[in-house]
Amino acid sequence: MLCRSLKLLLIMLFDRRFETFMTAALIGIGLSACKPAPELVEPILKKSEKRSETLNYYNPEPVGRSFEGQPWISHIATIDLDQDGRLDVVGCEAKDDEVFWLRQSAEGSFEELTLAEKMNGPVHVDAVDMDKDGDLDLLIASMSVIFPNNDRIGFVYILENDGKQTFKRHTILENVMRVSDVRAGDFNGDGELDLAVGQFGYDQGRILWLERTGLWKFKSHDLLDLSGTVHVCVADYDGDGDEDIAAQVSQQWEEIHLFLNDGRGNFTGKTIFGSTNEDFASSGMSLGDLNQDGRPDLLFTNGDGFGPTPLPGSRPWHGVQWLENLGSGNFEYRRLGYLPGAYSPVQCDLDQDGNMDVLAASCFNDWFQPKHESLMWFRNNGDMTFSPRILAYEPTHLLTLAVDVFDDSGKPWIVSGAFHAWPPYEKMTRLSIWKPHP
Amino acid sequence: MRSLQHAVSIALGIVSIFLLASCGSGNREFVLESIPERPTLSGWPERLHQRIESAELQAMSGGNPVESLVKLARLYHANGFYEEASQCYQGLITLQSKEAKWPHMLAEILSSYGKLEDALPYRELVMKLDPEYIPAMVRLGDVYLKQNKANEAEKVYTRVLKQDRDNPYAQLGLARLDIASGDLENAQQRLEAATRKTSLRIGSDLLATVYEKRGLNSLAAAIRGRAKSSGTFTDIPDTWLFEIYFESFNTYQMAVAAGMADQSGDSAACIRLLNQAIQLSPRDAYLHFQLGLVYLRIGIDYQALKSFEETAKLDPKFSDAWFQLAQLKSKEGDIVAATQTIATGLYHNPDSPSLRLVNSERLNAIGDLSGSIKEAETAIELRPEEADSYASLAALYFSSEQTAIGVELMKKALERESLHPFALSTMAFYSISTGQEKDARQYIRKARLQPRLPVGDLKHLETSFRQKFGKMP
Repeated sequence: MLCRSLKLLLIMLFDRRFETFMTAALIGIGLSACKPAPELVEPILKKSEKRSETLNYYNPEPVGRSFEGQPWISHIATIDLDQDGRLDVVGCEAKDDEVFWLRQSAEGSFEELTLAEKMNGPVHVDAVDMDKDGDLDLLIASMSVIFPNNDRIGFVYILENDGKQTFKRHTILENVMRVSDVRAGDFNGDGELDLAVGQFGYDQGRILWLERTGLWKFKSHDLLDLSGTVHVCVADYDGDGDEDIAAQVSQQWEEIHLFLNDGRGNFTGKTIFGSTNEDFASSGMSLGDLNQDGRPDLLFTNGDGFGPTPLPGSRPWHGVQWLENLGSGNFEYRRLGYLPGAYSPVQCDLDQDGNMDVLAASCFNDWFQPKHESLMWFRNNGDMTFSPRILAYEPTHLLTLAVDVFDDSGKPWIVSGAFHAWPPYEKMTRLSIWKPHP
Repeated sequence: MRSLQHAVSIALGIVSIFLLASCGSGNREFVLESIPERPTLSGWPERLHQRIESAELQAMSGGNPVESLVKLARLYHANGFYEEASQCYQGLITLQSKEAKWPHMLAEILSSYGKLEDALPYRELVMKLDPEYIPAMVRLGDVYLKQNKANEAEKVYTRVLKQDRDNPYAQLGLARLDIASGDLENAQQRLEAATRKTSLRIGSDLLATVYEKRGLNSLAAAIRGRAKSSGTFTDIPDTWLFEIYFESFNTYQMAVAAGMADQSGDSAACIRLLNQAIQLSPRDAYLHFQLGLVYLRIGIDYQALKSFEETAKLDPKFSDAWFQLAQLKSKEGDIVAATQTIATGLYHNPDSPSLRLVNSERLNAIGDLSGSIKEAETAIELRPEEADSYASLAALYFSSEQTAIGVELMKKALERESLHPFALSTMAFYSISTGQEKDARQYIRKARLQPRLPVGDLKHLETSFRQKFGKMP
């Protein structure tokens, strides 16, 4: 304001040449002396600072069967499959086409059993009682071929449990774009579980829901035709009493879509997150309630390392973030921090301080170099700020995580699965159980 | 009056000199405020330390502090220090308020994290400062699109098309809006325009979907049949952004940027950037390999050969380099050299399925069937999840009239990839010729789902079926 007044005074008093000179001089320096200090954008956590090591807080132990070659564990989930009161793990081995069960036979003791073979590249498993007979059936999403392929080779299976953990396979979808996720929910309010399906495909893809029309019969309803769906998460996001669907879409789109249900299976879609960076590399999404306000939030990672180079690797923007549910279908983006090659965000209260933390794994990191983080804990400081803590540098190539309480201690354990599809093929693991340091 | 004016003139002259001096000092002060705290640079090349230090010193005491801040911003941005770069750009936006590049760069950083809300005011500022820079306009349209602001997005994309009538990215954005509003006919027209402009690179993925939705299945199949996976989309070339990567010391990020440039059709820029990366890291075999692939794609085989040779020399366990070398030598007709290359490659990489398969092909070509079969079997052991190895081995058994084994292997290929085109067509033909009507019908039915199977081959199968069984499959 002072500068403007002085300039005005000079213009009024002096001849045109002087005015021009003064004006030019003032413009030339951009009125800089009068400028406010720059407003910094919301800080983006630095890569090399503000992180600390908390090594040995949790220690990994291999679990499950021994292996040869390179394991491709594509997904794991914790569930008490046989409902014996002890938590188990179910998972998918994409290369061996198997769905497996890591049964907790005695406290802390696990045996691995194969539940289903020839499952065509399974990449996601979820447990739910689809036929209301009191046992847990398994929903399986299968891609057939994990690496880029645009053929209609995807499958959705339901493995029907006979109550003794012997499973009968029902093929729900076949000859469709590669399926990356399937979850259950009653979308039309008829009391029967329907399915939400994400078809990654490759060049073409789709998000859809399958309306239950019979015990193992479904009718398909398209929601959005975009390639690259990674995950679909079912919850009542707008608090209106019915189940909605959120879908994370990668490829060149890099968006998260929300499909709000009117309770009768009529969905209205909108975008609740997007990046204009086609290399953003969306890699996983899960449900949580980080601020414990009762509204379901969405945690998501970006860390898919594939790109226009022969070697997959990290990017400066890889990391972990969440969408805070503000109610009525509105969300706010919040970044938690940097994690190269980030995958599998999981909410948990790791230190049991009553605040929800976030755990995430790294699958694409510079594993040729020592000391690149493979397991990261974003510790909630209690005020919804998060401190990144490196829990481990190995095992490497971790694609999937689950966290749950497996024993009477009440302390959570971590389960990790590794996906060794690119070098270096060293320090390989398959499944690990991480227990807290005594 | 004149003397009064003279006196005031002198007084104000003194004031203005003081003002200028204070403003100049403020200018530098402002630059100083915009210089970020230096991040930890351990592990980075000494030259980056020096360049950052030099830019900081120049900003603090040199003749052109603003230009030094520009240098610092570019250095931080190019090397992935985005918080530091953002701080510099914030300062530059104020210091050079008419320069569109700075809000664009800041918006790019924010958007790369998905911070579209934060990026939006900067995107809008760029549009005001330089309404002719199309990549920035497209980005603004994309931000609106992703924020569910359809009207705003449409306005921006339409404005792009006024300047660049066939801009494929604006057409793609508008097509997405059309799809969202249910206007598939308009979406089709826009996507066809985008694909025409870019030889199917931009928009073809969505166009195939739109064709299917409109019942134009043969047109969709024509697109889908072009590749197992095309992934042809590439981001809009952004020269303002791309040029900063020449300031980079992070050779991996340079390789990523080079790859993006290549995919966008700018192989010259890609090669320049890769060569610069190689200068920084001459022993990085991956950089040489990537360069070789670029040369191979643009048809400069002798340069590709040199790059692959360098890759193999630096890392003999880089099996793909040996594979590419062998292919190039075969292409030249130098069978002896190709054979030697495969042998040397396998010596260093006995567990390479691709080298095993190429050796299998070589042995088959010289009539060593048993050797060829053995190599294909090894390839399967090494990578049992892949259908191609089974199909290759099956073909060897078929050609040696050991059909039963070939059939079993083809079935295994189809277990791994249910629409494998070669396995499907072979099994369909085999089923027809052996009179297995039910099987033949099933294979043909599946073959119809495989757009990569040439239309002529499918028709031939259908004709053979009709001739054999007297009815349509």
